Amino acid sequence: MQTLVIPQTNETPEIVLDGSKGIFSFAGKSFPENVNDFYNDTLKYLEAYVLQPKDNTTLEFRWLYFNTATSKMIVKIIMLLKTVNKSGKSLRIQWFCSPDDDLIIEKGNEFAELLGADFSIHYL
Amino acid sequence: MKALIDKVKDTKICLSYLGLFNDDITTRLIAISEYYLENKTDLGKLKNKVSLLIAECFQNIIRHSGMKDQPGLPTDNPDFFQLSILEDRVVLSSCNLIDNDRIDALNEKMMLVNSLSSEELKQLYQEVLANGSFSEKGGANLGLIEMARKSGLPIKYAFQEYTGTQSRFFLSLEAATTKERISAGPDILYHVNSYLDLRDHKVIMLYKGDLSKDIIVSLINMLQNNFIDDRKPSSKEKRFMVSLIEVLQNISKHGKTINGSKEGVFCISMLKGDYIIDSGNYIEEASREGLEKTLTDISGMSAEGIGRLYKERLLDNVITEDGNCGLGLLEIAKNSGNNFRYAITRTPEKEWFYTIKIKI
Repeated sequence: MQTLVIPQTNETPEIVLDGSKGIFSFAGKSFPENVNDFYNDTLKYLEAYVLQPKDNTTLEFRWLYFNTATSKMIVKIIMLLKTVNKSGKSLRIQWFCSPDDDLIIEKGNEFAELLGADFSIHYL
Repeated sequence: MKALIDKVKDTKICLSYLGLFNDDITTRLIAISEYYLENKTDLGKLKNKVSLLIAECFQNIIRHSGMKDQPGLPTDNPDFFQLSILEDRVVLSSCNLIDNDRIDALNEKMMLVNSLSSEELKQLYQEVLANGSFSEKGGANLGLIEMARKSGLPIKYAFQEYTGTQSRFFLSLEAATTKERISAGPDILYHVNSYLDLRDHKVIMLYKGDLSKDIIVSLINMLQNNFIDDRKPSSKEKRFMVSLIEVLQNISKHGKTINGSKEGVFCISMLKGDYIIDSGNYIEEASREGLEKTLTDISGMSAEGIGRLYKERLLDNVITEDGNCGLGLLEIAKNSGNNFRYAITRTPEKEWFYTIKIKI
């Protein structure tokens, strides 16, 4: 799969989707006016990826902050990628944040608790 | 906040700003002004003139600022800029500190540019451009002459002593559609008092006007500049930004459109280390009951209850077509420790007006 790079803007994160390696990363802020519109290409790319996933898939998040609609989109992305488990493949989620950033740590813990994936928080 | 808002009720849009000043903020403010003049008023032909005046005004503040202790945090003496769009004119006002030993020379320059006709201002501009300064007149700078030329109306100004060595310099510029060289905007004392009021209330930004998507993105980016872009933001600052985004995006999506605008007001202040967000907007009759119930339910919940409901909603997989997800008020409640107050009142025009005050 060809890598898809969506550059960062003032309202949206940098997204790098590398299907050939199975590594997908999101970094920065996310508060687009309409999350459906903004994340549409990303979801389409990942839907195509899960049809023939790599043995190991890694999802990386480096958030500055994001709005609530993005929270639900993160759930959607994780749930979608979790389907690789059904074919015996692995999904690893890495949540990067500063050790004193209790907002982003709290958010990471919520996703980890709710989604039950291989989810680890890494302090920068 | 009500008292502050009442003062700007006759303006179509009023943006008062007492935060960090830099070139990026100038760009955002020009974007707001241009969007508004072009789309929401009959003053579209003033667009370029106002943009130039904003740029000159900001350069004046940026050149003389540097007095602030830390970016983003209100000091006892913040710099100030205000953009007001009235029915027939645009008024810009600013305040920054200057050294007392510059006052006499500046006063002379102001009196001079105010006394000249547009033709004389043009000549003076060319003279200064050619010679670098016009020494016999005290070295007026190009910026000041440019402001007078572009405005075409007398510049209002005042000095107010601050310390033994520095004073506040208040400046007010107007751009109007009228050809007459008579200023009809507020007196400079109005701007002085406006500044002192906002400063005393520790206001960082006060905005009244359209809160549609294009405007709120610029406003959020202006505030972001204060807290996020120039340094590592604290978690509290992030909670404030996230809550503000939820408030403004909620108005942008669900506020009632009146005369083609999502009219609203909001005020950001900082009191004793806490961020205060006050906002108000019109809502549809049909959404009043539901909103009131949601607010009542959430405000009566414990932190655990809020957390539980938040997690439930996070998993419900509901994102409406316009990107709404039903988590905004819960996020605000979480970030503020459920420290918010609200009211939904009927205005004399029989509209429903929703206000919320959040402390973070």
